[in-house]
Amino acid sequence: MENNLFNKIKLLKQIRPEAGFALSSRRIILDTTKKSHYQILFKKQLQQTFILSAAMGMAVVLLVIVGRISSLPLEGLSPELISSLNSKDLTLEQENLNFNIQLAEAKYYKESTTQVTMALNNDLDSVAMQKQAENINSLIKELAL
Amino acid sequence: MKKIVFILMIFVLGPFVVRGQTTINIKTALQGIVDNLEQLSRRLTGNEELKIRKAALKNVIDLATAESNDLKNKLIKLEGLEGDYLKLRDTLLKELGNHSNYYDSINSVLERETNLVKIKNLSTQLKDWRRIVYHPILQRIINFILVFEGRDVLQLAEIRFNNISSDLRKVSNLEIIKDSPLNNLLVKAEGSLNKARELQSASMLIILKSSNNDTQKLIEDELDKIRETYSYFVEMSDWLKKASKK
Amino acid sequence: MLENEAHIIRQAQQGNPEYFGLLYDHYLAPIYRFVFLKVDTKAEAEDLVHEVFLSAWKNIEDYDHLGFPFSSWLYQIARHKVIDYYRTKKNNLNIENVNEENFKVANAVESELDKNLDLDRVKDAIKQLGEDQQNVLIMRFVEDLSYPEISAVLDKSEGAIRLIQHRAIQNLKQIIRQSVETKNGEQFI
Repeated sequence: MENNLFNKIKLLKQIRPEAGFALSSRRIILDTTKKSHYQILFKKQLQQTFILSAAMGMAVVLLVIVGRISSLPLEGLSPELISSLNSKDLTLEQENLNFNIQLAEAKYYKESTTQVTMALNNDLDSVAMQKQAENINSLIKELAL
Repeated sequence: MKKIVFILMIFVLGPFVVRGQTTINIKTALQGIVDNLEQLSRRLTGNEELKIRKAALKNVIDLATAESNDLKNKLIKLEGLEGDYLKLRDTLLKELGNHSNYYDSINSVLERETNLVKIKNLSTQLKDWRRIVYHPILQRIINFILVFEGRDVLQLAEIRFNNISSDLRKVSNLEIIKDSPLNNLLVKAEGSLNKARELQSASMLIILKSSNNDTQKLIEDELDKIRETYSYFVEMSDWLKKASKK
Repeated sequence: MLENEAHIIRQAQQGNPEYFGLLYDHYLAPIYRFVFLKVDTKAEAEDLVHEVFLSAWKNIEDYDHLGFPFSSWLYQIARHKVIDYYRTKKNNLNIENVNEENFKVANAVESELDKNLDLDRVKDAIKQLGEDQQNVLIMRFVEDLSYPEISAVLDKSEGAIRLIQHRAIQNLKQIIRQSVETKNGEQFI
């Protein structure tokens, strides 16, 4: 009996959360800023969002069956289903990717090593020294650190 | 109470203060070098020149120390390193430590030296050391950091791509989606992302070998591809916005 | 464990929600199962699981990966949420103090039990176990966690975990037996 019991218990691994719940819950959690007071309202919003998604999803399915999908306006789609194309999120993400800062830092170090090493040259005349000073001044202005 | 608040402020603001302090130190040292160069370009007495050259050397060492700290922090912050990359990171950190020892030795000579000729020799020594030892290692460190920062950027783009793919799959049976440019744009985005991935892989191989300048070019190209990927995402988002307003 | 998990966690701690999303996707199912097997309804399980991940996201800076695995930390949060849930519930049969020596099993009953061992019965029986026994049973046999991992969640020694497991299995069998015998109208004792 014990083996059978273990086998049955292992079958419990089939238990999975529903996809609709997973989607809504995930979106709501990831939209939450850590300092928000969202937690007080989450249950209501979760239920409302879930009901709205389910209702909209059902509307879409029914219309597909009836064959009128070609005239279905996009607002008939649940926003949660294409939330990954939210333009605000995309813009924020692009801004946070720091492409330009990383490359600017690399550029700084390349310039700094060259300019500063040249400044150590004892044979520079006064014109050359002024020029070096100007170059390093430009570097300070461009400093993106 | 004030003591507790003060201590708390140190812990909360500490990391920001350290980062800010590094930037200030770099800027201060660079400004110091600029001032020294401007002073040296004028007519000076022997003593004045000695004083300014010593100050200039000190500023160069302060700058190098601040830059070392900045690079050390960036190297330490890199996550998910394994195997040869972890070993290389540790090697690079050790090199920065060796540099620190070299600066200390220069500083100790600088403090006690009062002969202008010897100070000039020290300057030449430091210049040669930078050219022969410092520059190559610095380039290697910069490339290493760029490659792994590029990896993080790529990973974020991949997450976004997967989310968009998954969302589109859910609505793929809708006629309006089938007829839309969304799938086409997604395919293009995937193409750009694949290219970015190839460039990332290539750069990961190169950094293990040398301080080849091509690494920076690879990363620049990779970031261009990621930018391209996001431009397709934005195009998809714009189409969706327009279509939903019709 | 997720590949490159330490890196993902660090990124999430720096406030990047997409990285927490990866952790959410990976751990949602096991945490859901853990909670579902301990509460009464699917709706309650969903509420609690949502609270677990919300709490984890809001407090992710508190997690230190040098202490114990991320999964253990999530299970701990889930455990506490369920404990709070239990506090508001009236029906909580705790048979930890039951003396096993009072119950002897005849072979005939054993075979009868085998036939009646459906999943719902097993699920209901698990819900009737004490908290520690439920936790060990679910984590060990449903989620295949190792003894060290379970030890980190429950803050008990591995020896204690093994003992709890043994008692959990014995008590589970006893509960299932009772439910079969009640169904068949037989008195066991």
